[in-house]
Amino acid sequence: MIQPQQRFQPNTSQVAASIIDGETVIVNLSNGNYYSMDGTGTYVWAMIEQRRSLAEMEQCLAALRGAEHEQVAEHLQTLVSQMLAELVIEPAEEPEHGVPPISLDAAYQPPVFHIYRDMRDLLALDPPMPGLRDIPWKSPEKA
Amino acid sequence: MAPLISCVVPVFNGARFIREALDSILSQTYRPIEVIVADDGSTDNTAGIVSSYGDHIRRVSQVTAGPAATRNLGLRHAGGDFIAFLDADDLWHPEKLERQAARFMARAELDACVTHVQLLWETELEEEKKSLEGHQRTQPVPGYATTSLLARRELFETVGTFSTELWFADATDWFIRARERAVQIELLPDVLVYHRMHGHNLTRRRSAASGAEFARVLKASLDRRRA
Repeated sequence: MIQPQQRFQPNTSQVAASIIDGETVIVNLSNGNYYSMDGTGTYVWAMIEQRRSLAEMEQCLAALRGAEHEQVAEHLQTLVSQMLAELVIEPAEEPEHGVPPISLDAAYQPPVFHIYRDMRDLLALDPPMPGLRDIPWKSPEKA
Repeated sequence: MAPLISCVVPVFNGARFIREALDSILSQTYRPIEVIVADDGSTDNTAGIVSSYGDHIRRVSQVTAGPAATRNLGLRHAGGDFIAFLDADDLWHPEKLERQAARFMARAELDACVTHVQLLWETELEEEKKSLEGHQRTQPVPGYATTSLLARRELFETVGTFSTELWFADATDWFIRARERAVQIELLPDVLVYHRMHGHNLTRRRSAASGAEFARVLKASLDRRRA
């Protein structure tokens, strides 16, 4: 059981993520698994990027249209547990300071964490190795 | 008669290692081959090194446009029935092409062949190598990357060329598109490519910012499959 005061953040030493057209796609650079969430799930991901606590996330989700607090708590426990098990997120100590909470005007949909393991072989070599220093390729406009 | 294999070496300022890469191509037991260096506007001595090989190697160049555009440049100048790529800092096993070509002889339906790849760390990165001890990439890994690819030329018409909108994940995007089209790709268990890790290679440039590009490529693939 994850405690309400617990905070989480993206496990950036292992994963890369992008929110595109409202869908969050996360790739684990170590093992080639990748994940997607949309709607409410993307809302949760944005709050995890802000290191919001479970209680704060629960409160925000419960404010969505049609949300029932008890259900929201259960769904959030499941979602966060799945992301922890896949090493997509990790515990965080402090909230991100000076960032206003994100608000969303939408109907509540149970968040779904889609897990894909079909491209582990294709992603075994070429994505960036976790933990390497950044040395960007010099782009033409900056050359 | 054995088919001609075009060996394309995309390079950007690769003077430090390109000689070893080219020697590993010229040492291939397979013949006939042609070697094309596709130069992405290098400003180091890459051109001088390539010219020292005389007529054995052809160099084509462009104003710097990125890895995908450089691979496509090499493709446009390739005359072989089969295309192989070798990054300018990597090495091939002498029998790499011969063993892959044998698979095409054995399997008429085969479209492409990749091999396992072993990463090699230069001494300047000894500390990093130690920190990665036990990581799966210190073991031979499936080489779904251009540096181990041997493909029928017409496959680039079926799957398309490399997307120049991508700066880091163009090869992964190509392999994903190939898989979506049910292209027949065989992965050899043999380690026939050695991918060098050093202070300035492309793999090292693919870190924080490039990770998001891989996520974008996967998103595009999900969209295509859900359409």
